[in-house]
Amino acid sequence: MNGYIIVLPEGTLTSEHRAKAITRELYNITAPLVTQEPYQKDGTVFGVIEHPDGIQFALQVDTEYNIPVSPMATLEKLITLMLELSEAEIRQLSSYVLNSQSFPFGAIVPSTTTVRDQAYMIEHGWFPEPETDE
Amino acid sequence: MRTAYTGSAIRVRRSSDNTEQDIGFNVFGELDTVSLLAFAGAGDAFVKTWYDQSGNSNDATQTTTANQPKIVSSGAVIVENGKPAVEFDGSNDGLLTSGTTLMHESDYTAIFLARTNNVTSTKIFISGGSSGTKEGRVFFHLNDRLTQGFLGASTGSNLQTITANTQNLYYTENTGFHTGETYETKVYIDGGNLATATGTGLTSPTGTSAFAIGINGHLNSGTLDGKIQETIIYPSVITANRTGIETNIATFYDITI
Repeated sequence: MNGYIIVLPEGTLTSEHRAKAITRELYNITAPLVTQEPYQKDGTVFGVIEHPDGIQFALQVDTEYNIPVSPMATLEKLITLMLELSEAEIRQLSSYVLNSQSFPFGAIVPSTTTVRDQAYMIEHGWFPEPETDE
Repeated sequence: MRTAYTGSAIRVRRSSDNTEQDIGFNVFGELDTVSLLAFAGAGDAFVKTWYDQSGNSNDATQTTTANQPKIVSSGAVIVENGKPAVEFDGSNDGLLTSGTTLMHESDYTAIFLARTNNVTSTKIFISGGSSGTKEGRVFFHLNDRLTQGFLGASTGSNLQTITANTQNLYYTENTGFHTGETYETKVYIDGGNLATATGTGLTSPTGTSAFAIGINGHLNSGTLDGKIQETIIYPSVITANRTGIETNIATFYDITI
């Protein structure tokens, strides 16, 4: 399912910084930092969109998007960014990811997180649809 | 392929490890699918960069992996009518240039060879936005109506009806798009079927912005659910060359015009 996850600010991290850090860490699961070529230093998995208010940011996600797991992948930083995860979910996530060759992104979305659809985002002012005269 | 061009065609990323590689052309001037498949293996490969052949470095790029359109699926090159095609997922895929003035010009020609998989929603073929709200132009289909519009503005022109799952060559000539001008858009589909629309131009673009393939580069939405094989932009109207360009593309892609 395609949709959007509105990323809330946490601690010293703004919505923007947290969203960008999460999508970057998802990329690093497939290509860990220690293995990366210079061209991979800015790689991300999901796009980050900005609300016109300039404060709120959201990840444009596909819950079915498959993320390959490198044998050298680590999850510590991603977990610190996904504060919505419960302790049980963290244990489950770590086991699941590190014992898989790949996993769909939806499998690690915290249970308390809502994936919003396009209509919700439009309704809440994230972006208008292009329109034309009839 | 432009005769004077010597660079690569595309830069691709394989899904298994996010490794990337440039893919060039074979001796026939076609995409080097042998190298592409050797790199992709049995998995998928996605287009990170569609290189500009004009010499202006207006390369269209997508660094976000989930938003990269696909070129190889499970070890097979994606094709349309037997030729490689870049497949957009209808959700979030899109390739964008860095700051350009493509489609900002008051007069320009845009040519693209594309197919849409459905005509039940609004989907973008190409767009040229700007940092403002009502300047950039976009070619999209609003359900089954091919449309030229202004990004972020509630105005535009319906051109003609198109059909799902059909490969079409779109040749568009556009004049008079700047502030206060009377604009005219002419669209030829597959060498004929001329449709013309006129209206009043909105605000002249300022600065530079992303030109985008398969997505609304201004709003980062409206991804095409379909395929694109060629995109050519001229910063002027080139009527005298129209039939020659159409014939060249039609011959290469083996389509009837």
